[in-house]
Amino acid sequence: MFWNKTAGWINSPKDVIDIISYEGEVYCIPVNIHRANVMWYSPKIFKEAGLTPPESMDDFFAVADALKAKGITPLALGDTNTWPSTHLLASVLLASTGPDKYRDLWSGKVSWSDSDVQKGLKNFAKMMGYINSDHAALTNMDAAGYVAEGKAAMNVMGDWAAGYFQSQGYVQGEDWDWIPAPGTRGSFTMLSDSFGLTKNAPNRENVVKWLEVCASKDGQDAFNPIKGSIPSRTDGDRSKYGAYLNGAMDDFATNAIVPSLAHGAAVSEAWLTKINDVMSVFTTDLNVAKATAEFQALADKYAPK
Amino acid sequence: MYRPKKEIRKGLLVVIPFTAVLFIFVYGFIIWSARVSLTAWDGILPNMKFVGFSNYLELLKTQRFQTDLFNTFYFTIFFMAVCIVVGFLLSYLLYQGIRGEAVFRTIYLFPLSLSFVVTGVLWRWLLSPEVGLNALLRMIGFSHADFGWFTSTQSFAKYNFALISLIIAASWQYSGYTMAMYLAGLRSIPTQIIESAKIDGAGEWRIVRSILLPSIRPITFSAMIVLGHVSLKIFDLAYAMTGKGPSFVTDFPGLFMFETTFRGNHYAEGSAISMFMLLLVALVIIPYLRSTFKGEE
Repeated sequence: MFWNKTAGWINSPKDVIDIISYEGEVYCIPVNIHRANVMWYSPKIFKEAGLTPPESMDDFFAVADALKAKGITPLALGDTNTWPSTHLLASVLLASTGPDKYRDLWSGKVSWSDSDVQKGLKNFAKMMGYINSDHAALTNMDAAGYVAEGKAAMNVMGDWAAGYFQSQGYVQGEDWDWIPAPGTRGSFTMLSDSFGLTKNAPNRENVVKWLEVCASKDGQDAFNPIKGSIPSRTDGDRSKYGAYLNGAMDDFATNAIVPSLAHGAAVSEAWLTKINDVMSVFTTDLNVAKATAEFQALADKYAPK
Repeated sequence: MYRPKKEIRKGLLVVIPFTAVLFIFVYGFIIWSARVSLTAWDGILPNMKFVGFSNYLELLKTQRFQTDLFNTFYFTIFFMAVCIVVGFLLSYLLYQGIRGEAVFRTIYLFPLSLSFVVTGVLWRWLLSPEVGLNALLRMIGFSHADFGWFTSTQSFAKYNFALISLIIAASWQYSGYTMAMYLAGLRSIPTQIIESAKIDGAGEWRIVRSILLPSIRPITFSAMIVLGHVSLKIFDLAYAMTGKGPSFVTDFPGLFMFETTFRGNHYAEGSAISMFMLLLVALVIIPYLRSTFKGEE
């Protein structure tokens, strides 16, 4: 395949190569990497309440209880488009399964009735008791805004939220800050925009040239600082990226990298739309047994055989 | 009637392109959708294996589709009822010949000139549970104004209360339209009839009940057809205003079809949803066409 010839590709972590490959062949070039398992929090609220941002799910519930007792909304969610709740679920699952089992869940090797997966689903259902009441009327951006405005303490969202905060003039360390989503430190949930090379492409030569630009250090360092994402290589020019992105680059180089669920990296779009349908009900009825049965039925149908 | 050959040829020339386009892009694609709905096509690549009506049966079993059917039913009933009642009341007020009638007529009709997308975004803001109407009510002292509007998951007899928001938005847009229809109808009633009724001592209510309402009955029927097919096919309003909502409280077959087909690539299932929608609209349109053609004969 063409990517072998493209100089410098060995610089992408092996986990990334696995995600963009099918049966050992690379099918696309990722031009950027976004991280999904990030928790954005309001430093002001945590400081005033004398709390520290939670590292584990147990911490999360302890902190959330303390905040709730003070009348502060612990967790902002904006799931009018449903996928933000799927996005949150993926982080919560990852927290209890760890990266290996999380990967196997999407390849169909781990059952939804597995005890760690069950723990994740139960945690998610419990978390719904700590969210803003108007979650179904908000978009993911509105929910991130709640954190920066100090209306809610935490929000789990991908790192495009950092771009949103900066575009609104919010200052990192004052209005917002971040840590990996509770219980997922050491894992990096990635999603990416990529370009592919199709079979029988009429202009194969030019496509390959374009992909070489996309894959190159210069190409990625030109694109990503503007997009607000990090390069899919580990040798990007650090001076071109801001504080958040530098932190993300550190984690990207050292963490276990797993595919994001809500953005189509872990499962097919066919499977994902059905998962979103289950989530639409699960966030309301919080029925873990029913959701488990439905998630398992979908996995049986859509997981790679 | 005698027509020269040349004229017939000219006529055909005008009619044929339109007919051909209609047959290919409307009827041809309906037949294609019907065919796809009977296959196992689930993914980007076509799979035309015939599976009979299993897609339809599966669909009827899903919670989302069941909710959609109830939503469509209740939305249609209430949307029609509100538009017809409000439309008639507005037209009756204007019919009384109030001053500045043309101004009011334009104001009432104005929402119709907006697209459902604009209406949806507007009402989404107005009814958003934390910042919209609720905030206003709380400001003037109703501290218990906490109805979730389109995010509410309360229901009664499968009627999702969240639909109220959509009914308000849709009726706001279409009441002016029924008003215009009724106003035209009321104006066409000969004034002699009303005057002679007055001379005979008929009161206002008697005139409305025995003269106005019976004479505008055909208009109510037409209005129901127009409103009915708007509500049965509703997509844009719900898409812009609420999306499918928590537990599908504001979902409709059109949204379900769009997400299933064009997001999830479940082509056979999406086609089956479209066939159900065609059936629903046919239930409304066919009786209308029959009665119209009967009238012409």
